[in-house]
Amino acid sequence: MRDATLKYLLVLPAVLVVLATAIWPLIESLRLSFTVGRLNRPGSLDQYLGFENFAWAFLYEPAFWNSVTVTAIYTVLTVALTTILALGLALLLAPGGRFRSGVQALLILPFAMSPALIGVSFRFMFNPEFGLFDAFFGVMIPPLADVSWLADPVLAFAVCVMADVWGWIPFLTLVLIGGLASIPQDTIEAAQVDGASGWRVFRDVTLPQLAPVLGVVVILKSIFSLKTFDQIFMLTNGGPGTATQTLSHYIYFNGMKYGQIGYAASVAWLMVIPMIFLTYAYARFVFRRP
Amino acid sequence: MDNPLVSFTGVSKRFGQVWAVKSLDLSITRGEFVALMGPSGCGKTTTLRMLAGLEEPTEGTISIGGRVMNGVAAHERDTPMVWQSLALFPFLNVRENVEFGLKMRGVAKEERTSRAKEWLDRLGMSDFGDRGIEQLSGGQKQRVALARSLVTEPEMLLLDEPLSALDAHLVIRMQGVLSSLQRELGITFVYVTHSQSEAFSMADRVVIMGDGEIAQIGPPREIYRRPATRFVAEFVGRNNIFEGEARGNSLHSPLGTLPLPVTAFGPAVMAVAADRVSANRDRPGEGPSVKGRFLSEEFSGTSILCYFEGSDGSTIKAQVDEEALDLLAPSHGEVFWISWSTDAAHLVGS
Repeated sequence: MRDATLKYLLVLPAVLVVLATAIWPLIESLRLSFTVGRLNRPGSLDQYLGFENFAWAFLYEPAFWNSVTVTAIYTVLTVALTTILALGLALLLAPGGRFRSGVQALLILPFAMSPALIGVSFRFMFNPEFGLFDAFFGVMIPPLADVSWLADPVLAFAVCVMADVWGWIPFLTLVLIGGLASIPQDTIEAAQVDGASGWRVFRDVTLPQLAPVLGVVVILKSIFSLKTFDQIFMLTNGGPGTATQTLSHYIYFNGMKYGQIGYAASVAWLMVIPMIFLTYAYARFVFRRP
Repeated sequence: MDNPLVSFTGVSKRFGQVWAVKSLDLSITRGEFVALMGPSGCGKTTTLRMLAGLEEPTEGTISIGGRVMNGVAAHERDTPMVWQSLALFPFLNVRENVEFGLKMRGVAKEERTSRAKEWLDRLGMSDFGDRGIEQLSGGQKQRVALARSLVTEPEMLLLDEPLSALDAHLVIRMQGVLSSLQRELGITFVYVTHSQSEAFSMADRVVIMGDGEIAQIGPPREIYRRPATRFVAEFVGRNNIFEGEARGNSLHSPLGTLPLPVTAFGPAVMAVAADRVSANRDRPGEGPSVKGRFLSEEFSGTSILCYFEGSDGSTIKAQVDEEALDLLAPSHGEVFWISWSTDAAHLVGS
């Protein structure tokens, strides 16, 4: 057999798997987004509506806009908090930082937990009767003593943000430690002998050189925050009410619970828009020429 | 020394179990060009870093201008430094690099710009202010690094092997730039290097360090002609070392009995510089001489170094000029008489 033919034959199984599990579902979901697509209505999967599903989401669905708002606030808060806290930790743990030995291994633990498991444990720890955090915050902040965290819209949202930040800090810290380690120590010392205090060294020398890594961290975390589902599903299931319903949870609810597959598909494709922007920005950062 | 700018008093530095610098005493006067020279790991860079405030001495005190600097952070001292890697900021352009120290000291924007321009002009870099660091050649980067360190008009400049990354011809040119800058500005230069030619051609005084200690301090000629120890004699290079037992006016060595320039007794080491040694087919009438088999020659531009093997297997070096080598026309294995005058020999500490 000729080499040219053989190489295509060898790669064919992989191509078939990708086609069946990624490409076909993508195309099918795009097709469904233009249909009535109700699981309980036979034939509706082939009943085309044009852009009606999209228009419906924009014009007549406050729940859609609610999930957009929740997702936006959730993304901004989790990205900002995780990045800032991870940067602080990375500065302490990086080579030459204050707490180096041994702690790095501990750091990886939260990252080793699945998001769903983090959701379950946080729900458990904020249980009003026997939850550890519930009791802890009750003592630390007396007005919160008798509050049921997960029943309060604002506090439940705060718990979701806390769980996400807790779970993501380790990974981002490790990435930033790597970034810090690649900054030439000479430039830091050169700044010191040129009269830069600790804060000025950080602001004028460390930060500009860490910027490319920070950029990647922020973009990656934004992508992950935007698509958050499992943790929210296990922790609050979008509630109370729709207070913590992110876009992916909204899509899941409409598609799987109410059987509105066509509508869910159209919202899912709307979510692709910010994702494309972020992925493009990520690619720019990662593959840009030095 | 009256009113030194810098003084190290009993300064030691330990890293883990290793003493990088051991009870160092050194004074440097204002306007002096001092070179710290020694092999890798001799403690010269650690000494410089302690002066800059980048390392804290384990023991002893360092004072600058009469003020004890122990515990004073690097950014609170006025000790800018030029690095082997140059350590320019890659995210700033040439002018911003030069302005950095002024910016950190809160100098206003207009003054910063004009002073940076003045220094870039002075170092022949006025057309490069807006360039990125990566667009510069090695020599240009070197000038930017110098401008960045000098723009704050410090009393003292520290240089850590600043020329070791440059091509040979650039090294010579930059040596000229550094020497004339130091003379014009009248500031103190503390220069760390492992290169004998850099240290000897520029410095007023050379500090030879070995194993964390000062082996000898002195003007270049003195160190070259009168090495104090065997280590210095070997490190400075092109010295022949004869070891043996001194008995009054002679040294009894495996190569024979050699006259000593001074009276001494007991184990002794004698150094004779290679350029004070000559090689002949016939035994010279007077003066010390030893036999050596010709091994090889090494051409180094202005002179040629000939290697001979003594009867005890030791290597003897003789520096000759091209004309002398042509007359000698040595062939491998041929035996010569290596001779020198008694006053060219020098007894060194072991």
